[in-house]
Amino acid sequence: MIYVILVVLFAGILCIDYIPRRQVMTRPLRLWYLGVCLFCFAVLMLDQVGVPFPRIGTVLIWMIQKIFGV
Amino acid sequence: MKTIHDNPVSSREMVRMIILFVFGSSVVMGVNPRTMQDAWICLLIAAAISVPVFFIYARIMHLMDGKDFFTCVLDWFGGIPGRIVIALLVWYYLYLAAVVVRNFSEFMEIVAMPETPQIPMMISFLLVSAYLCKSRIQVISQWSIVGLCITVGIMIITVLSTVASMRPQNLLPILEHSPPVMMKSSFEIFAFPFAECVVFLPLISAAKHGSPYKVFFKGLFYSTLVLMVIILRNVLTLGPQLMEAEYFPSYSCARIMEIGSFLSRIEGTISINFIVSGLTKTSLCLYSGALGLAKLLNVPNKLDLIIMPIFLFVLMLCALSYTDAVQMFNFLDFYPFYALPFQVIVPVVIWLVGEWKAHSKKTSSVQTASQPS
Amino acid sequence: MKRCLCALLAACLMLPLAGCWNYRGLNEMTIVAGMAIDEADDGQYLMTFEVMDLSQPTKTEGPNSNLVFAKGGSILEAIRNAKRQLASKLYFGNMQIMVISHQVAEREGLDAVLDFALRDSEMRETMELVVSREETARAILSNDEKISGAVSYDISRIIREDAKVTGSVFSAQFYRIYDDSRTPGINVVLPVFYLAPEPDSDKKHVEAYGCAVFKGSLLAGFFSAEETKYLLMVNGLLTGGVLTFYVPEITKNNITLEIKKVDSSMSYENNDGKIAMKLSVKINAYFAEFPHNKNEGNHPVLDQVERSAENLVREELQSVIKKLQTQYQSDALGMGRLIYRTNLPLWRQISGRWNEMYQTLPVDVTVKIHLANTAMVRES
Repeated sequence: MIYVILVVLFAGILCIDYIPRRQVMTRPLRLWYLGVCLFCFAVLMLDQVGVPFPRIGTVLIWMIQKIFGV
Repeated sequence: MKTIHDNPVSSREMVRMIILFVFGSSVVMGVNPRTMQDAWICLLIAAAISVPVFFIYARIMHLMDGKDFFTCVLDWFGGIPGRIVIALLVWYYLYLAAVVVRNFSEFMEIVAMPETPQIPMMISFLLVSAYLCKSRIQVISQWSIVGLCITVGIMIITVLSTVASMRPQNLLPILEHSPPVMMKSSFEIFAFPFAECVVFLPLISAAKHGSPYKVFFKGLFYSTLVLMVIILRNVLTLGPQLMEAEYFPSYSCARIMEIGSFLSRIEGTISINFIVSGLTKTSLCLYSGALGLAKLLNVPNKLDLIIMPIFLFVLMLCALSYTDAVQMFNFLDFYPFYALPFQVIVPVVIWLVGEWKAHSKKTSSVQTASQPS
Repeated sequence: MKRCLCALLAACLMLPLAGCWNYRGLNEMTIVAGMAIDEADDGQYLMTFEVMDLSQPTKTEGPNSNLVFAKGGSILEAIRNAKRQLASKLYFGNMQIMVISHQVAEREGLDAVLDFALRDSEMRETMELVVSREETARAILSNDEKISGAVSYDISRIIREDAKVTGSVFSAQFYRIYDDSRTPGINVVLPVFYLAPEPDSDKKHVEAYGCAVFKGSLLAGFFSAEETKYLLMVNGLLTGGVLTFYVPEITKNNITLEIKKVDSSMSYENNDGKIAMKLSVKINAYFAEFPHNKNEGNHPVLDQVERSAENLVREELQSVIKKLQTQYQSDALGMGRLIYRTNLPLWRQISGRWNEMYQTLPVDVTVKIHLANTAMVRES
């Protein structure tokens, strides 16, 4: 079910936000827009599938313990 | 003087936004209950610690003299260092937005809907924030008028309903905890939620009239008042031991309240408070992050083009921020260390560079004036 | 065309995001009114749930309840095991009381119960915790006579209204007990219920027995309803009730005063580490029953009645406090907590030996009773 939601969300963003305003954007901006959307979508889908991405909290806690010795 | 804020906002509305912002996650997470009945003293100490920091924020705005924040940063620091500073702040704003949304979805899962997956809750919350963001600062400020009425109204109702169960002796003994513990707790309250007002640095320039000092300090004063009411209500009703043990003391407090025998079980109102203030906090963080990113991408006037990728990015950050609720609460102990560079060090650097620039401009104008024509 | 597509996509997005993900209808829930915790013979928990019976029409028959039994190694396991016999999962959002047997209270204490009840988000913090004086806790819930449809709701109402009417039980809501159990210098007190026999019949009904005092998290002993009334006076919890006593010089019948207001204060004196407590109780009362013959005396009786009542209350209070100190060794009145709250350095000095100090603590009780009126009839 969540996959459906994510796919619909992604399609909705592209259709409702990106495609009508493609002409207004410069080419680098368009590439950036699509790149970020695709990257985030891929990460979210893989996270739902179960790929063990490192959590930001874990990384930050590790860094803080190393730097500040807490 | 070009500004990327479309319509000006009054300073009173800016103060309201600050109050709602500080109210943000604290309305449900509570205000650092580690020091139990001394939490109100720690809150006052944290407000005192915030005064010089807020002074620096206001001074930065004063030095920028109404110009857009990120434009000034680029002017003062130059190309690459300026972009690094902006990137750091944008990261902080966007990750803060993700953390607030994660707080909200974990709260909903723990107290209300354990079987519902968190992603749909995050998406719905963030979508509304993104829409608020797209509508720019004036809509957010008008929303905050409504939001503040709702949250303060609900807070007053909860206080009045729990008056019958309050026990003044719960505040005793005063100063039971040692000074190191009190100071640690005060720093934690300073970092979360007071110094998160660093999010307002790009936004204050939208307030056309009124001095930034007044805005920041009025905001600090009223938000301290509101948080004090919350802490006192929680301690007096729940008792210090239960307040410290619970993850969501305000929510538990609301579960106890009863008006006569006909009105009870209105803890849903606390969820409304969280949604309203959490939405405002997320929108403001998203908006500041979007302003910074727009500056980095050289599209300062076309903010609404980049809102949706930012929304997806923050959604991704939100999903990846913590493994579970336990890590989320543990991270509160480390948060002051993580936030210190963004809340204090970067603004202090900006302030010092700003003072240096202002000083060198003054000396160069004095020199040009004194040169014979 | 584009607009239609956008509208369709927006509608598709609305469908999974709006509404309830995991909606549970009322017919999928078994509403629990009260729960009893016993120890089974094999050492496991035996739980008894009083559930509302929604199969009968409540308009004509009135609400009614049934009992469901389940066993498990822990409280949560027993609750889940109940699903093996129930069509719908148990719903605890309206549970009013939890009864524990005195064996569970004596041997295991309150820690497991408190932790579970507060950790679970469905159970409410305003639930009352009750101790059963019978052999088992489930005996309390097994009663047939129910005015509110469930014994648990009856018990909950008895406890709520008690302080104004009889002053025979302590109210013990979970969030208050948790705080008391963790605060230094005070011990938990819980209400106790039992099955009172009826005259000339085998029937029994659920009645308030008094209170149970704890030492730490284990049960120390019981007080009867009469004794509980005096305990309630100490911390200002009593707002009603009656005092019945016998003054043979005035009348050969019992005199009854109705308590209208109780003001009490606790203080202490510290003489070089020797602590002495002072308890002062001020009661405003009305004459409720004064059966007498006019010929028995013409002198004004109000002062004499007040003096007799004061003596009675003082003696009873002293005897109850003595019992708490020597027999149960439980600081249920919060004398240690008073020192902890008002003089933290002193408390830090004595907290290690407070348990021993408490048993021989001198307590000076002063009682003042003021008769405010004599109701509808003059006193003589």
